[in-house]
Parts: sequence; C-alpha cells; structure tokens
Amino acid sequence: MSFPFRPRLSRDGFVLVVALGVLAVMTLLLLALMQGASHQVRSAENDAAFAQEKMLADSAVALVIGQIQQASTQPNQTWISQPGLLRTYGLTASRTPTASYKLYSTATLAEMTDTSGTLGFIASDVPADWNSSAKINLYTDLNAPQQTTGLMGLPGNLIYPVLDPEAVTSVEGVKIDAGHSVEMPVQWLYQLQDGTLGPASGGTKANPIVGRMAFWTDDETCKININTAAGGSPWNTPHANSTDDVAWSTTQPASGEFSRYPGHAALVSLAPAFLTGTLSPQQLLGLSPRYGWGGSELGAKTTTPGQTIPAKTDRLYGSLDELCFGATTSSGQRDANPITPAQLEQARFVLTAHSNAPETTMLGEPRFAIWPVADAAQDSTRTTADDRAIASAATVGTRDYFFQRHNALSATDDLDNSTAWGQSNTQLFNDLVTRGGLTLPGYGTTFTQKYSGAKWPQLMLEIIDYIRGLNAIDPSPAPFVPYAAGDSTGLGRAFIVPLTATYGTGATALRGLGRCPTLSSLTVVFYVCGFGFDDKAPDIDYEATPDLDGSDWKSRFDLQSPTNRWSHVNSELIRAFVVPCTFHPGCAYPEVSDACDIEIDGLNGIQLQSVPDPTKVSDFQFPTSTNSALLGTPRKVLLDRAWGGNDGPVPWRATGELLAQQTTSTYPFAGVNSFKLPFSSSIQYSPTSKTLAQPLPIPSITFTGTTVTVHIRDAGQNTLQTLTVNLPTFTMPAPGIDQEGDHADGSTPDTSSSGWNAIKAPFVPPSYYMNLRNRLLATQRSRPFMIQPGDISRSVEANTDLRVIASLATVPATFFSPHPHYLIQGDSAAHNLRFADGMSAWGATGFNQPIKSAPYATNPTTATGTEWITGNSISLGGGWSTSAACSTPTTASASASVAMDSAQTPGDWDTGPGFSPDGAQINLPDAGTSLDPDTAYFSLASGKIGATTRFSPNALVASPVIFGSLPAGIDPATSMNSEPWRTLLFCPNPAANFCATPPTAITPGMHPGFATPPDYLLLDNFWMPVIEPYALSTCMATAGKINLNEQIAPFTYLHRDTAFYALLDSLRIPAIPVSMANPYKTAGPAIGSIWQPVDKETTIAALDKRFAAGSVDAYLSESEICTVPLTPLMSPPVTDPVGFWTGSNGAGRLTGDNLRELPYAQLYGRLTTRSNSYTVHVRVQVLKKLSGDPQQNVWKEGTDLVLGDWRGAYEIERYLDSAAKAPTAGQPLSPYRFRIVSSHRFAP
Amino acid sequence: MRTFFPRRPRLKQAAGRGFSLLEVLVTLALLLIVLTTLMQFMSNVDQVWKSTATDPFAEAANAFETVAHHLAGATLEPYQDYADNTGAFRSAASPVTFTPDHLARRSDLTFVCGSSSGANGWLTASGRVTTGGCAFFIAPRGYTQTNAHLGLDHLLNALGYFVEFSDETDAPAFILPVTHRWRWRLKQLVQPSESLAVYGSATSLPWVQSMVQTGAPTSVLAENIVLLVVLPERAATDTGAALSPDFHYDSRDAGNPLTRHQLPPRLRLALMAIDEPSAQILAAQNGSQPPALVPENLFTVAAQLDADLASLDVALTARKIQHRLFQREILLPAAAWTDTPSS
Repeated sequence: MSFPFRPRLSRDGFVLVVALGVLAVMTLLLLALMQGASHQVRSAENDAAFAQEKMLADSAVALVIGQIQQASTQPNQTWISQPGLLRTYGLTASRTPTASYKLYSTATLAEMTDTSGTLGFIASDVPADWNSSAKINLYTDLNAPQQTTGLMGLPGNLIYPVLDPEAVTSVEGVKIDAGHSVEMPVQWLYQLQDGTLGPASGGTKANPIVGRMAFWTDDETCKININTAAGGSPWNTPHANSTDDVAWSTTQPASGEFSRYPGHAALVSLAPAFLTGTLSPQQLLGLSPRYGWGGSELGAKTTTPGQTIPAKTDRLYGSLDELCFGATTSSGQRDANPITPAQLEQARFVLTAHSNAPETTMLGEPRFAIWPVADAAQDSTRTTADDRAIASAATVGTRDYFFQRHNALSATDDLDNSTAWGQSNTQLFNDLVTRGGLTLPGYGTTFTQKYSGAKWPQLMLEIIDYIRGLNAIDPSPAPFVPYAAGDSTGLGRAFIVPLTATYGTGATALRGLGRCPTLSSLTVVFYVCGFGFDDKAPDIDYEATPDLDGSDWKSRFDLQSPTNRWSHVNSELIRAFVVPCTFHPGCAYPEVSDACDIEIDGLNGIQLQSVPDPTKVSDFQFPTSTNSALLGTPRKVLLDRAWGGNDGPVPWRATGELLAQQTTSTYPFAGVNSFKLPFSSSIQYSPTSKTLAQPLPIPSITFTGTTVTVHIRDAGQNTLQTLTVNLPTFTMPAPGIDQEGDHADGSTPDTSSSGWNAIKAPFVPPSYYMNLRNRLLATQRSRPFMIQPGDISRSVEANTDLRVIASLATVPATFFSPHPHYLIQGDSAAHNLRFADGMSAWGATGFNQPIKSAPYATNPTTATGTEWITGNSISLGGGWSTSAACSTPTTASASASVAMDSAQTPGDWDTGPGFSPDGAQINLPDAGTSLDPDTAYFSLASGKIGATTRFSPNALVASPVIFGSLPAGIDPATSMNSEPWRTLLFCPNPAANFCATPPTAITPGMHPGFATPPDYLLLDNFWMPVIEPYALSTCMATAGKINLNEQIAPFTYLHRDTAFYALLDSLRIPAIPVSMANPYKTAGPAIGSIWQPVDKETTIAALDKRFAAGSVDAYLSESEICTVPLTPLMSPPVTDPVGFWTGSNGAGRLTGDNLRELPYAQLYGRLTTRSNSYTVHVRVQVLKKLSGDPQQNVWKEGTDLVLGDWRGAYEIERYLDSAAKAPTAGQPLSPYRFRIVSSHRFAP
Repeated sequence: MRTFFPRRPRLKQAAGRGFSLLEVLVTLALLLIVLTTLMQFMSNVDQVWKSTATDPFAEAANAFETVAHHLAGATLEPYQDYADNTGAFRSAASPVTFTPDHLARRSDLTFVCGSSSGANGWLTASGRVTTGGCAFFIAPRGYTQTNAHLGLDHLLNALGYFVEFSDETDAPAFILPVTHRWRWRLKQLVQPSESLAVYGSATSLPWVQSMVQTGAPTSVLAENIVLLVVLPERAATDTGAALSPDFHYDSRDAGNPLTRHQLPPRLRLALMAIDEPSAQILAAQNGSQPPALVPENLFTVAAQLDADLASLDVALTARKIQHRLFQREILLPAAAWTDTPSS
C-alpha cells in the first residue's frame, strides 16, 4: 500500500503557498512602505525645492540690487545704466569706464564686475558656441519660449518671456543682427550647499552642488512707459510766416491738451510699439490714462483762448498686461482696449508700466528745479497747485532745490540772506557756484576753468534770474496774485528788476537780466521851431506859440498867398531834443509794463556852434539831470505789443501818451531854449512853382560833443543800471523845414485819447511839427514824423550784443558807437530809430516801413559786423546774408550788420517770435497773452499768427535747454572783455560751426561753447519737473524718461531703438534756409514750412554711434544729447548735415540759436542716462548631484537631478528713502532703497 | 549493531514525506512572531504616515502658505496726484469746477484688512457669517477667464481671504440636505482680471461688498479654520506708532493720512485651525448654528495679539478641541513705506 502522490504534494505545496503568501504580503507591505516613504521624501524634497527656488530667485535679485548699489555709490564717479550693465566713469577726461557692473549672471561672482576698462567681456560672455554640448551645463537661454496648451490639449502658442521674435516685424526699432536670434544666453551661477556661489567646479561630496541661477536685468527706462506716453502732434510758438506757424497760431493746444505741449512726455508715441493693426492717433491717445481728447484734436481744429479740455481721470496701468483692458466696464466686464494680447506679447520688450529715473547730477547731487515758486510766506495767494507740486518734487528733507521768489521789484530781496527764502536762494546760488569747481567725470575738467573768475558766478546768476522771471504773470484766478502783478493800474506788470549779487573778495558786481529794458541807442535831434524877420517883426517860435490849425503858417508863409513873408525871413530858430531807445532781451508774452524810468545826466552839454561865427553858441538849456515818465504805461502795452525786443523810443511814447490823455506834461529830454541862427543869404523861392528852395541858406554848425550818463531807475528811483554814452563832435548842415508839400489841407491830427491810436493823415502845415508837443502827439501812421525831413538827427547806438549790455550794472561808453552816417556832413538823418512794432522814424537807415514788411537782405552784401568773440568791428567780405535784425547795430547798407568773427562765422542770435525781428534775445518762453490771437503776434491781415493764451508749467518750459540764449561771455570784472554774440551752446550746430564731438581745442571759427567742459554739461544741474497731468516727477525722480544708453549688454546683437522712434515721432526741427530770407518775416501768403520732421533712421544711427563696436563710450549725462545731430527729413535727403546748418546757402543757415536748440530743449526733459527701474529676468534650478558620481565638481546635464525649475521676473525700483537729507555740496544724494514692484512666475 | 540515527535514509524519508505538523506549527509560530513584529512596524509606519501625509492640519498649512504667498504679492502702485483743498481727488464724476490744491498720494488700487464681522466689519453687510479678520487686495496674478488672455501673467486680480461659517456648498443640491457639513472655512476670492472692479469706486467698502455678495466666486481654501488674523505692521526696525491698532487698515481711508494709499511694509499673518473630528463634534452639537470658538473680546486690540492667541489656545484646549496655530511675518516687497502723511 502506498500513499497517493497528491496528498504528499499538496502538503508541501500548502506550505509553499503559505510561505509565498507571507512573502507576498510582506513584499506588498514593504512596497507600500517604500512608496509611502518615497512619496514622503519627494514631498519633502518638493517643499524644500520650492523654498530653495524662491530663495535662489531672491538671491539673484539681491545680487542685482547689490551691483546697482555698488555702482551707484562710488565716490567721485558717475554711473550710467543700460540693459544688463551699469558702468562707472572717473574724474578724468577718459571715456573709459572705471568699472562695469554686470547685471547678468556670470560663472563667478568676481566676473560680474569688470575693471579692465574695455567691454571685451560683452563678446566673451556670449560665445557663439554657448549652446554646444560642451557648454550645455554652463549656459541657459533666458528667452527660451514656453508653449501654452491650446484648445483640446493641443499645443498652443510659443510665449517668450523677454523678446518675442515677431517684434522684429511688428515693432519699430527692434532689430536682430544677421546670424543671431532672440536667444539670450547667460551663464549659470552655481550654488553649493554651504551657500557659495560660483562655478560648478567648486562642488565636492561634502559641499555638493545644490542649485544654480541665471539672470539678466533689463533697464525699464529703455522702454516706452504706457502710463506717460501716448503720442501727439507738434506745436511750437510761431516764429515765421510759414505754413506750420500760421496753422499753429490758430490751432494752439488747449489747456490740458498735453499731447501738444512741446516736449511733454505725452508726445512720446506708442505707435512704434504697434506697427501691426495700426492704431489711429486718437486711439493711441485713448490708451492713455490721463491725456484727454479734445481742444485742437491734435492740431486739426481751431482753438479759442482759454479753451480747456476735460481732465481724464482713468486709472494708471498697474502692470503692462493691463494695457489690454480699457478703463470702462460693460455688464461688469472690463472693456477691451484696441490692443490684442498677441500685440502685447510682441511689444512686451519695448513697453513698461514702471520706468523712473533719478534727477541727480553726474556726481549724484540733487538737481535744481527750473520753475520758480513763491516763498512760503506768500503761499496762500502766490502759489498754485502746480507750484506746490514742483516744490514737492524738488525738496529733499528740509532743503529746497527750487528758487523761491519774493519781490520782482527788488534787485536784492530774493537773495537777502536775512530771510528764509533768501537763505535758501543764496544756498542754491552758492551750490551752483561750487559745482562749477567740481571736476566732471568723463571730462576731467571744471567749468570754473572754462569760465574763470566771476564769469561762472555771473552765468549762474543769469540762470537763476531767468528762472526767477519765468511765469511772471501766472493766469490763475483770484485770489492768486502773480509774481510780477504790477500795481492796480497795471504798471509794472511782468516787469522784473534784474537780480544782483557780488562775487569774490573784490565784490565783483554780478547782474541777471530780469525783465527790464536797457538802452539801445540815444539820438539827438535838432529841428527848426521858428523864424526871425529882417523887418524887426517879432520872431515866430512855434514851440512857444503852437499853430495847431495852421492858420498862423497860412497867414505868414503860405506860398500861395501873395502876402507871405518869406522875403523877410533872415534867421531860423533851432531847438533840440534827445530820444533814448530801449531794448528788452526777453521777447515774449506776457506784455511787460516797465516800472522804471530813464534819467539822463549831462544833456546840458549839448551845444551847437556856428562855424563862421564861433561866438555863436547855443544854450538850449537842457536840464543837468532829467528823467522820463515811467516807461511802462498801459498804453504802451496796448499799442506797441510791449513784449520785449526792441522797445523803440519808449520815453517819447510815454510822454505822448500823457499828452494825449490831456495830462500836462513836457518831454523831459528837450531843451527849453531856442538857438537863433541867421541865414547867410535871402530865402529863395520860385514864384512860378511856388516852392521854397532847399536847403535853407544857413552856414554849417558844429555839434561840440558831450558825454551823458543814462540811468535806468526803478519806480523808487533806485538806479538799476548806469550807461555812459559819448556823443562825439560833428559838423552838420543846418536843419531845415519840409517843403510846402506838407501843407495839404491844414487839418489837425486827432489828439483825443480815443483817437490816438487811429491812423490819421499827416497832411499838416510845417508849423505843426515845428512844435514838439505835436510831434509827441503824432498818431500811429504819423509816428515817423517824430523826426521831420528837415531835422538833423544823430544816433549813438549799441555796438555790441545787447544781451551783454543788459547783463552789466555799469556799461562803459565803448559799448556804444556813432551811427555810420554820424560824421557824414551831408546827411541830415543818421539814425535807425524804430518803434516797437517795427515802424521807422523818418530818415531811419534801412526802410521806412515796419519790420513786418521790410525787405530782408537776400543778396550777398558787404557789411560791417561785430567780431562776436571780441566785440570789435570788422569788415566782412561778400557772400553773407542774414536777416535784417539779426543784430542791432546798423550799417552803411540797408541790411543790418551781422555778428561774425574773423573767420566769418556768425555768432549767436535768436529768431524772434512771431514776426518779431531776430536779434539779441534770450529765448524767453512764450507765456501767453490776453490779446486776440489774430493780433497778438502781429496785426497782419493775411497772416493769423496768434499768441498762446493760457499756459501751464510743462507747456511753458520743456527743459533747462531754454537757457541756451543767455549770454555766456560776460566778464563782470572787466566788462570790456565780455564776449558778445556768445550764448550758451546746447546744440552741435550753432551758426558758428558744427561739432558733434567735443573738440580737443577750439580753433578760429569754432564756437567757444564747445570747449571742454562743453556748455551743455551745465544742464546736468537742472531739471524741469513734470507735474501735469499728475506728478510724473516726485522727489528727485521722474517717470517715463528714456535712457540714451540703449545698448543691450551682453546681447549686443539685439537692438531696441523703439523708444527713440517714439521720442522723435512728434519732434520738428526748425530750419530757415537762406532762400526764405526775404519772406520768412514778411506779410503775405505763408511760405513753405520751416519745421521739418526728423529723419529718424539717420538721427538714431547718429545717436547709436557711441555704442559702435569697440567703443567704450556711453552717454554720461542726458545733456550729451546736445552732441547728437538731428537730421531733418527732407527731399532730397540731407546728406551733408554740416553744410545744411553752416554753409553759406545752407537750408538751415538763417535759423536762430534759439530755434537750433529748440528740438534739444524738447528732447532733454524726456531723456536720462540712469535708471531707477529694472526688471530682473531669472531662471533658477534646485539641483541634486548624484551622490555616487565621483565627479562632484561637474554638473552633468540630463544625468544629475533637477528638483525645481523656476522662471520668472522681478520688477525692482530704486527710490530715495523718505528720510533722505539734502547732502552737503559735492556729496551725492542718499540713501536709496529698493523695492520689488512685482514678481511673477513665467508659466504661460 | 545499527545506529540509532541512520542519517541518509531519514533524510531521504523526510524529503519524501514533507513537513510535519510540528514543523508547520513551528513555522506558523515563527511567522506569527514575524508578522506581529511586522504589523507593529507597519502600525508605526501608518502612524507616521498619518502624522504627515494625512496630517489633520496639512490642508490648513497649505492654505496658510497660499495666503502668505499671495499677500506678499500685494501691490498698490501709489503715485502723486492733485487733490482739492478737501483732499478729494478728481474723478470722472468730479464737477468741472474741481480745483487742484496740492499733491497727495493716490492709488487706483487698494489694500484692506481688519475685522470681517461686527460693527466695522468688512463683510458685515454681506450677510455672510464670518469671524476674525479678513484681507482684500490687488496682486498681479494673471488669473483670467478667457483663453485670449493666457500668457498675460501680469494682469491684476483682486484677492480676498476671510473665514466664513457655511454648509458644504460643493455638494449637489439634492444631497446637501442629507450631508450637511457645517464648518468654519477659510475662503479665497479671486476676481478675474476681466471683471476687476477695483477702479469702480473710490472707497474700499463698496468694492469689498461688491466682491463678496452672494454668489460671488469664492473657493474654499481650507476647512476648519476658525481664525484669520492679518495685522499690518511697520518694518522690524521701525519703532513708530502702530499702523493698525485695531487690526483695521484701509489704504483708501481718507481719514488716515498716514496709511492713505500706502502698502504696509509688513504683515503679521496668523491662522488657527481645528481638526476635523473636533469640527464634526461641533457640527453635531451646533448644526447650522456657528459654534462660537473665538471669544468676542479677543482680537480687537492689535497690541494684545500674542495674549489673545494664547487665550484662544487655552480656550480651545479647555474644550478639548485639537487645534494648531500658524503664524508668520510677511514682508510686502512692493511697499515703500514713508511716514509722510498725505491728505
């Protein structure tokens, strides 16, 4: 018997099953355990990786902040920012950076700062083979795209974190060099376990690699700020009878129409960012949160004085992406802007919602705001909200970096150190003077080396006085009181007494220009006032016995009368008067009513001596010292426009006005006695023609010459300026009378006040104008007859730049010269006496017509000029032509003389506003007037150039470049050494020369402003805060400025000039060609435009030259924009920018200094070279090196573990700590702090 | 003589007959010992597992991190704008006679926190049953409702956090009456960019109320959260007066020139969570009535926050409610705090 096989097997199997079962259970349990544990480990690792990602990313940002802090706080150096890089430059003339602080990751921390002085690292940091397998663990592309998930899980779009390649076609100014793409590779910076940052080669088993970071920092100021930019259309104060000027006169920007305020941030256009799906200008403006639509509607509509467009109050964009939403909602959903998300993605590289730039000098000191604010004591009635906003932006701690003005009628109050405002202003002035002694980075020299002695303080005083006088008549409603309000009658309105100060131990007198007249000429006039008779009849003296209705003349001397007494006339009575003329260097609205008079001492020296009988000497009995009425009368404002420039014979006009108002008055500068001279023979007249033979038979007489002293005095009779004028000896024919031709009808001109302004026929008997009172009462069209055809007149005129004369407290006689005809005995008239509106007195050199219709020299003429460096007279050869009034001294020819030097290069003159003549003006901003826009600039029937009617700070003043017409050659210590026709140079193309690069030496013919340090660098001390429509400028910083340093480091193959295109979009370059010389200030149909658009391509190419391959240069100060030639867009294209501006037939040859600098003025305020806003593009990875790998110092891509991968960006902002205090002079402003505006993960 | 233990045959015999009962019993005994040991080990593992992965407060911990992360991204974007002499800004509704007087700090965004209920509660008027603090603010989260805006990661969103007592709202309506889950919950509100309404009003309260009205898109971030505290504080090194003595902070409060349109530099965030079993017991006891876990007299004075948290801890412990407190200081990197008042 045997056991069956199965049971035995079964028993064994059961055990096996049990054993296996147990094993299975154990295995499952173990697996579960392992899985749980590994899950735990993974979870813990994930948590740790997440934390480490954040830490690494924060570290990257901290590194960038550290770099910025280090670069921006180097003593005695300046710093500039650009995408990816900050550079510092030392106090030498070298343009080589002392250090370059990289804002992108490199393999080691040490490599992040380069002190080699070259920029060679830029190329080596991005090698061509960066993405080769050998370097796969060294570099990463920060711009690597990520694909979104589309509908149904299909692949969506490629989203690029920094630069979308589509931008090349959809955004203007984005370019990629051939052979490159949008890749942005930077090196990984590895982190070891102990926190060490550096290359992976530092890893060990004990201190393994745990992470790595890569980052690159963009400079937000190289982008267009969507909160401050929009786009607009150009507007400028009309300067000529050109199509644009005429149009602009009637389509002036309304109040609040920021998109047409010259130089405002609103004119930075958004259009270049959106080439595809082109948006209309109105749509672009609609994107803006605060720039409203209306008014002139970008120049398309006529505006009316005082027109205001409704303020727009939309939210500001909190982030760039918000641009796709409008400000309105519909059914709870925000309405879309006309910007698609795709457009936004493509424009992301060129747009920002946060860009901010510091308003500090190259050496880090706070800038001075160039807007005056009333002193605090007058705050309630003299300060507007705009003023307060500017004060707020320009205050650091307790220190005010703006001028506090107190008293327009005092030369000293505003600098009175015993007052709070005076202390502040004095400190400001002293700081400016001190800054002139600071060595400038990149130039290695100081302004006081260039402007030695008292010249620099004088220049600074001119500037602060210019600031002081801005916005003299703020049009804010009552109870606001303007700074220069004048008295209740309007006297003194806009009149500003020049500020004075002293400098140095010798107390050299410094003087600003204020808004105050100075003497431009003095004319002595001899006229016949009556006759003596040989039949013992009493003399007839029409001065003593006026013959208003001509009846006396008719009865005695009418040639038609058979009883006329000419046959008994044996002598004539001569009287004399003197006419001072004045000039205001500040020519612009508002109208100025001068609260000052003119006192002349020494007129009693005016005597005539008969040549044949020297014993006969006149005694006109001029007063020893006499003064005019106050010059600024309301009538002057009404009649003469009174906006400055040439005032003409204002004291004469003032007396005339008083007389017209039936006020008893006498002309102060006239002798009270007559001088009787016998005829040498009988009067000859023709019985048949009934005419009197001319000249009257009087022997020659001699003017014995004298020296007079002229004082400009304020209403309190304090002397503001003293000028000495020599009236040299001359021999002249005797004065005569006009023929009877004048005796047309004997009608009496209207002398009523209301009719004074009317045009009246000048047909009166000669006796009428033999009376000074009647000459004074001459009506508008009769004004030329203040000097009669028979009079003898001789002028002594300013022979130099009137801005020089206006800048001196005491003016020597050498600055005045006799009229070129002064010594020509045969000439009866030797003067160029013109009224403010351009109408000439009879016999004026040139044309007896108003300037508005006076021909301008177009043909080459030989002219006498003023050597504009030395002030000496020189003779110029042929080949020159310029506008008649480009300088004031007259010449032998009909054209005005010109200011040129021995190399025949002209000096600086200004193009006058409207139809105002060109000349020695100081580019006063056009602050508007209440006059009818049609008549404000000039009463021309055919031209309708209007004056601006209401201006706010940012419309009035674009930037400190407006200082460019201030005289820079004043030597207060030795006034004779002052250089005329030399003003501050803020453009590369003055009339004198063209110079885009500061020269090493000034050669003859070159403008001295180019000499190092070039003039434009002084702009660095000033800024115009932008406070409309909201405060773009806050404490020493301004939003929306654009960085000149656009070079993208280290990705120099990427180019982003979009912001420049945006900047130049609405800019116009004024250029007046020689061919327009005749018509450009002449009434008639408007000529073609003098305002040219900018050739952006050429201009940007010139702008980018500093970043050419091999160059280590950069823009150290935004004032260096003044070296960049702006090329007008013309047909045919401008190929010779030098010849365009300086050539004898150049298309820009007749452009005044102010207009040459105007585009720079509008650019400067929108530019920067240092940024406060950055975006750090970061990629970090948390790593785990395989522990078994013997090569712990090598990161093996794809083998070792990446535990966490984070990509994103941080927006950071550098800002001034609220506790910052004003630094002492020469020290940088600090401390600055940083905040992270936003951070986000790139995970589309 | 034959040996007693003829080895080879026995072996052969043993191989042939299999395991004896004794062997099996011994084996089983050994296995039992092994399994017992293993079970003990697994029990320990299970306990560890539960204490981590299924931590009753894990959800609260995650929620805390979420709140902290989002609060740190709060933004206000202040700027300087013109105010009239009453301190009011020009708005679309302003009369044309608005007369600018001075510059004042302004923001189009807002940041509010403070008590959610009570007389000055941000959510009192909403009809929601809330407790403790709440916070509502703007952050660039890029949350959108439409595909078109995908990728625009910088879009602004309004976010809000508050603690509300409510029933389970996710369950289908026909189940809800059966499966009531009355709990205190930490609610998160994220307003999509498309419907961002912060620009619609000049004051914060209407804005908050518009967002939290019935039917507003809120989500439950964590259940069983009984307290949220968000306290604006000065920087650690700043010894100035407390920014929010009563926990209340409204960056649009024109009556507080110091905090007006300013983001606080730092926040103290605290969150008290209870465990689910305790919550179930409370739900069983109170049903739809909110259990009062936080004494009303607490968390009204910021200076007593630590003491109040300790008091709450004591109170919950006394009621044998398992709880855990999460708290942290959060820096708001977007803030640029200044002590300059603005009105």
